[in-house]
Amino acid sequence: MKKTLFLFVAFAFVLFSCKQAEKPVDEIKKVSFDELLSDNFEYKGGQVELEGMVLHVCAHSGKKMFIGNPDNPEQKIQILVSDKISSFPKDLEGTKVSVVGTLEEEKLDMEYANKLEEEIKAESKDNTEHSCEFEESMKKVENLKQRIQNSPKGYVPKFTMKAISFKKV
Amino acid sequence: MNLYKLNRTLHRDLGYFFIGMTLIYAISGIAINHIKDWNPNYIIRKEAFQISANLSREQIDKQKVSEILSSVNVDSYKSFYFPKNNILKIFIDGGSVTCELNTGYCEIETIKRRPLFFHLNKMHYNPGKTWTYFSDFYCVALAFLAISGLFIIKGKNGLKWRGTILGIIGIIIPILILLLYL
Repeated sequence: MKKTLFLFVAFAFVLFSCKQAEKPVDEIKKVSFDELLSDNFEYKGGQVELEGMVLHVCAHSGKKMFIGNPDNPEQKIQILVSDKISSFPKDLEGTKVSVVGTLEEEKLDMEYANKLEEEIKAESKDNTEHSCEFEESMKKVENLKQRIQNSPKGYVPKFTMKAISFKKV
Repeated sequence: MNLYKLNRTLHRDLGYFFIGMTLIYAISGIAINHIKDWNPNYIIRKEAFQISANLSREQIDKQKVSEILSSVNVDSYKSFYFPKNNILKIFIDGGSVTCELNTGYCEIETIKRRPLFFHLNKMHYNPGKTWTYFSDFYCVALAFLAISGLFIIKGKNGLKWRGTILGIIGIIIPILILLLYL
């Protein structure tokens, strides 16, 4: 009995005492929404810092949230948890935060825009009348197509961020 | 040392040691399994109320926001913004208020952590490295408990008859579900 107890205590001790060596912190580049959401923004890797207001935190898992510019609702970005953060508290909504993390780029090309357009049209088929929402979505797709056409890269980048840390500001 | 005795001792002690972990994963497992039917982490309440219609965005300032909130007995707010031109969103402690400015229709949403479940689910979702190590150890122990359980009882109530039959049925059911429904 004593031996078993000793083994469990020893295991618990090892578990709580093993802390990984801290990695040296890379230089953190501060970015604004204007920069990040411009079609010309190029992410060269590493950590970035972004400030914004928490507009929404996923209430089911708390594993994602949106931060944005309250003066321009079009300017927002999805933030995901990483192995450094387990979840975002729901009460962050409405507060200004500074998030440090790495970016992940999704390339929105013409194929993506066409697919999106088809999906929106297919969804609206069920409705007999075209709603304002439908018209708004179609306008957004048109706008996206225009941006893709004008982009020298042939696509528009869309970024999500994997948060390493965050603090209220 | 007698292997049967060692097996029983380890099975018993690991069972005692991991009773808390088993309950955490069992209770939160059911809670998260039904995520489509309810919110396992928060109790969310919504209530509608009306303000004067046809307010313009320009008419909304700090004082107007305080007036809107006082009609639902909320005396302070964190911030507000306009997600769409005619939609006002006010963040309050423990929730938010959303108003359609053209119709005056508002909804107050209050969010409260679901007692017990919030923390159990948080642990289920793997909240950090230390937990990863501990829950890995639990998973290994669970596999050991499953296998060691086969050798607890000898004879026809053990692997010779009952254990084998029930064990096989228990393996066939998930395979059938996988093949037929997933």
